[in-house]
Amino acid sequence: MAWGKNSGKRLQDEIQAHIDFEIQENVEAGMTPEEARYAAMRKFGNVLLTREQSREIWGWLWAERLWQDIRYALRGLKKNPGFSAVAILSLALGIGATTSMFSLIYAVLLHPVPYADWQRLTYPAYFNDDQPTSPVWWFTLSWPQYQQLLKADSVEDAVGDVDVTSEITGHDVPEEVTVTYITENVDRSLRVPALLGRNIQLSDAEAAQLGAPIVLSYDFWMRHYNSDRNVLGKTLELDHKPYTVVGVMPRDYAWERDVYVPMSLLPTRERNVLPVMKLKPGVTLDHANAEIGALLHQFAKDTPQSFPIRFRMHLQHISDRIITAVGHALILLFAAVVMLLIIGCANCSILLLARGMNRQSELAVRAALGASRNRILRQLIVEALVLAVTGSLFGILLAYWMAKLIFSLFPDVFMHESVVRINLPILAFSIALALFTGLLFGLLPSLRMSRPDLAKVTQASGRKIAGHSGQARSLSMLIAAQIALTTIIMGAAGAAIGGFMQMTHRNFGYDPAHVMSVPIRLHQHSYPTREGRAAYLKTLQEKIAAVPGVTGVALSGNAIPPDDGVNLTFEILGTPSAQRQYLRGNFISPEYFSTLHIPLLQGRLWNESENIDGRAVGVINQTFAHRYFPDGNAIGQQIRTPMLTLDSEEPGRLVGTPDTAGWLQIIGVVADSLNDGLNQPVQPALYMPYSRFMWMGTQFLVRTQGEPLSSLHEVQSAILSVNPDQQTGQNVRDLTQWIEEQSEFKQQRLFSILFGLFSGLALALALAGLYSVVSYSVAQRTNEFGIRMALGAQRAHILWIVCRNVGITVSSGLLAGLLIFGAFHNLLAHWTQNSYSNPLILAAVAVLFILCAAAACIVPALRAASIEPMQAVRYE
Amino acid sequence: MTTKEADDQLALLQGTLDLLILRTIALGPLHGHAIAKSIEFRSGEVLQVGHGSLYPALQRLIKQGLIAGEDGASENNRKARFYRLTRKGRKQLFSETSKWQRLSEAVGRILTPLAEEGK
Repeated sequence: MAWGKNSGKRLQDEIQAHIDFEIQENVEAGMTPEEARYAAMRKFGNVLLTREQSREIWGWLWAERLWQDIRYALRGLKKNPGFSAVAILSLALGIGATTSMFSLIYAVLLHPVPYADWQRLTYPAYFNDDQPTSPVWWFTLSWPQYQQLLKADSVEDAVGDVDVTSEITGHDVPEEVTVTYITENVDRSLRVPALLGRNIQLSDAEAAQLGAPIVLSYDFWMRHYNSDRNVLGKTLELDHKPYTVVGVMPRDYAWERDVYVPMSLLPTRERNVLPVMKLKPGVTLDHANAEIGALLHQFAKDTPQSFPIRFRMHLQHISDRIITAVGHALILLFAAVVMLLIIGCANCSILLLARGMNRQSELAVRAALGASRNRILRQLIVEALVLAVTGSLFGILLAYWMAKLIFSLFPDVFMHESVVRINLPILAFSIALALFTGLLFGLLPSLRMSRPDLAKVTQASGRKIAGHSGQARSLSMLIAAQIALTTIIMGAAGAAIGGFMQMTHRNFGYDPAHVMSVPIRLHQHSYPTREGRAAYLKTLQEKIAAVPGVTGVALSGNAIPPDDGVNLTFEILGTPSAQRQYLRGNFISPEYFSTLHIPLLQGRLWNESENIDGRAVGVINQTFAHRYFPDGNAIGQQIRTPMLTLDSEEPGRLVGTPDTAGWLQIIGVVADSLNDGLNQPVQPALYMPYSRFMWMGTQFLVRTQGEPLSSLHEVQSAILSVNPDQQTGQNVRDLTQWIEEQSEFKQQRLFSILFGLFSGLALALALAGLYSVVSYSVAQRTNEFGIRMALGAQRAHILWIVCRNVGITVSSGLLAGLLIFGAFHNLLAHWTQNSYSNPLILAAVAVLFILCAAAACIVPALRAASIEPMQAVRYE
Repeated sequence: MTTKEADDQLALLQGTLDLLILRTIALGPLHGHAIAKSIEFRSGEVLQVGHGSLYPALQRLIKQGLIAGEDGASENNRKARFYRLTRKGRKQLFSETSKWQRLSEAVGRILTPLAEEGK
C-alpha cells in the first residue's frame, strides 16, 4: 500500500472523526460543547503535525517537500522582482565574465599556435652584438649548411623556407604574390591538418616536376578564390609556370604569406633558407644554443658575409612572442574579472543578508507553527540554491555569449582558436563559488533560530528596531569590501583608458589624416640602372600628382611612419665616437615632408635635380640634431653610413649611387616624427634622396582632399598609363588605418574597452547592491524613525541618520580601494607597458563613485524622511 | 513542550507505542479513537504528547504490513476507519511479547535476590 491521492483526505476525515468522538465523550462527561471542543483539540495535539508525520512515514515526502520548497522559492523570487533581478544578474555577470575571459586566456596560453609539439619549435634567433638596438636577428643558411643543421644532435627536424615575390600571370589583372618555398618535411614536422586537401609533404620532393603542387594559405584562398571549396585541382600560374592546387591550410596556420611550394622546385644555389628548428624532446634551450651556436660560428668562418662579426645564439620558442606580447595584460584582465566575480557574489550575498534580516519575524512565526529547525533550514537552503542555480544558468549563457563577442571583436589577439571553447573547470569553479556564497548568506538568518526562546525572538523582530547586530556588521563589511573592489577596477579602467587616449592623441609629428601609402613592386630584372629606375619612379610620381583630388605625392623607399627606416651605424666627420652609434636611415623624395606636414626647422631640403642625381646630401631630425650637435651647428656637418653597401648577389636588384657608404652633407633639420612605434621615443633619423639607394619595391605617399582610398582606382590608372604591367601591391594603407593596426594600438584599445566594460559592470552591481541595502535598512528601521519623529526629530535629521550610516560604509570602502589601487599602481603601469600615471585618475574615480552612490541612496533616504510618524510607529 | 522535546520523546517511545497498538487490536479491530482511549487507559504516559501521535504509528504499522485498515461504522453508526491485525502482525506481536517477557524475567531474576536479602 502506498500514499495515494486520496490518503490525505482520508486521514483528514479520520482525524476529524477522532476528535468528534472525543468531543462526544466530553459532552457526555458533562462539559459544555465549547469546553468539550477545546479539550478534545488540546488532547489531540497538533493536527497539521500529525498529518505531516503520517505522510512522512511513506517516504517520497522529501521529494514532494523539495518541489514545494522550490515552487515557493520561485514564487518568492517573482514577488520581489527587483531583488531577484539584481541578485541573479550579479551572479550571472560574475560567472559569465570570469569564465569567458579565463577561457580565452587559457586558449591563448595553451594553444598559441596550431603546430604539433609547438613547445619544441624555435626560431633561428641570435643576438647581434654589433647592433644592440635590434637585439634579436634571424639567420638564414645555405642549402649545404641547412643539411648540416639537420644532423645536429639537438635538432630533431628543421623546416626551412625561402620567400620569393612572384606574379600571378594568366589573368587580366596582374597580381603580386609571395611564394614560400618550403622544405618537404613541413607536414611531417608540424602535422597541421589541412582545411582542404593536404599540405606539402615528403613525396612532393620527387613528384615535383610533374604538375608542381601548390598549397594555399587561408587568407590567399579567401582573397583570390573567394573561399571556393572546389579549388582543389585547379591550376594557378605563377611567373608563367603552371601549378596545381593540392591543398588549403586552415586560418590559424600562420606560417608565411600566400602560397607554399616544395623546396625542390627552387635551384639549390638560391636556397637561402630560414630554418625553424624542432628540438629533440628533453633538449634545453641552453644546450641547443651551445651546440647550434658552435655550428653557426663554423658557418660564419666559411661564409663571413652572411653573419655579423660577433653574435650569440638565442633561440626563441615560437610561442614566446605571442605570449609575451599579451601575457601580462591578459593576467591583469583576468584579475579584473575575478574581482568582478567576487563583486557579483558579494552583491548576491548582500541582498540575501539584507532580505534575511527582514525575515526574522517570518521565520519565528514558522517555528511557532511547528516547523522544526531542519525544516526551516531546508527551506532556506532551497531558496538560496534556487537563486544561485538560476544565476548560474544565466551565467553559463552569458559566458558563451561574452566569449563569442570578445572573440569576434578582437580576432587578432585570439586568432588561433577557431572555435570558442569554454573552459569547464573555471566554469565549475565560478558556479561552485556562487552556490557557496548563496548558501552561506542565505542561511545566515537561520543561525539566530538556534535560540531556544522563540517568544522573545518573535516579539523582538516584530518591533523592527535595529541595533548593532552581528548581521548588520557583516553586511556593512561586505558592502565596504565590494566598494573597495569596485574602486580598484574603476581605477584600472581609468589608467587603461587614459593611457589609450594619451597614445592616440600624442603628437605624432606628422599628419596621418587623408594620406595613403601605395606600394609598388618592380618586375624582376626591370630597370637595372640607377638612372632608369629613378626616372621611372619620377614619372610615376608626376602622373599620380596629376590625378584630381591628389594634393601631394612623395616617394618613400622605406619610410612609412610610425615605424620606419633602417638601422644604420654612422660616423660624424671630426667627431669620432668610441661606441657604435645608430640612426634610422630613410630614402625619400623631398615632398615627403610637405605631404606629411612635417615642418622644416633649419636649413633647406634638397631640390629636384639633387634628388634625381642622388646627391650626397641629407636632412636630419630634431632628436639627431639635439643629441649630436647640441650647439646647433648641424648644418654643414658631414656624416657617413659605412654599412650601406650595394653589394648583392644579384646585380640589378639594389641600385644606387656608388658613394652610398661615403660622406654626405647635412643641409637641413626637420621636426621629429614617430619612427619607432607608438610608444617609444623618437630615434635619431637621417633622410636622404631616394635615388641613392633603391630597392625593387617602393611606396608612394599620396595625400588627397577627401578619403584617400576612394582615389585609389584613379591612382592605379595613372600608374598603369605609364606602364600597363605595373601592378600596385596589396597592402595599400590609409595612414590612419596603419596606426590603428599597430599592435600596441590594438592592444591598448582592447584593454581600454574591456576594462571600461568591466568597471562599468562592477559599478552598476555595486550601486544596485547599495540601493537595495539602503532600502531594506530604511524599511527595517521604520518604527524607529517614527518614534524619533514623534519625539521631535526633524525630517532633515532622519535624512542625516540614513546618510551618515551609508556614508561611513561607502567612505571606508572607497578609501580602502583607493589606497590599494595607489599601492599597486606602479606594478599595473609596468605590466601594461602603459606609462600613464596621473593622480587625477584616483580623484576622478572617487568623485564619480561618490556621485553615483549618492544618487543610489537618495531615493530610500528621502523615503525615510517622508515617513508619517504615526503610521511608522504602527508599522509591522 | 517544544517541538524538539516532542521529537525526542516520540522517538524513544515509538517502539513501545507500536507494540501497544498491536496488543490493543489483537482482541479485535478498533477505530483510531478507541485504540487511543484503550492505550490511555492502560498506560497514560505513552500518549501524553497527544492522541495525534497515534496516527503516524498506525501508518508505520500499515507500511510494515502488520495491520490493515478498512472503513466501517462505529457504535453510533458514525463512519470510522477500523484497524485489524494481519497474520504477520499477529506473529510479530507474539514474538515481541515473548521478548519483553523474557527480558522482564531476566531483569526480575537479577533484581529479586536484592529484595530477598533485604528481608
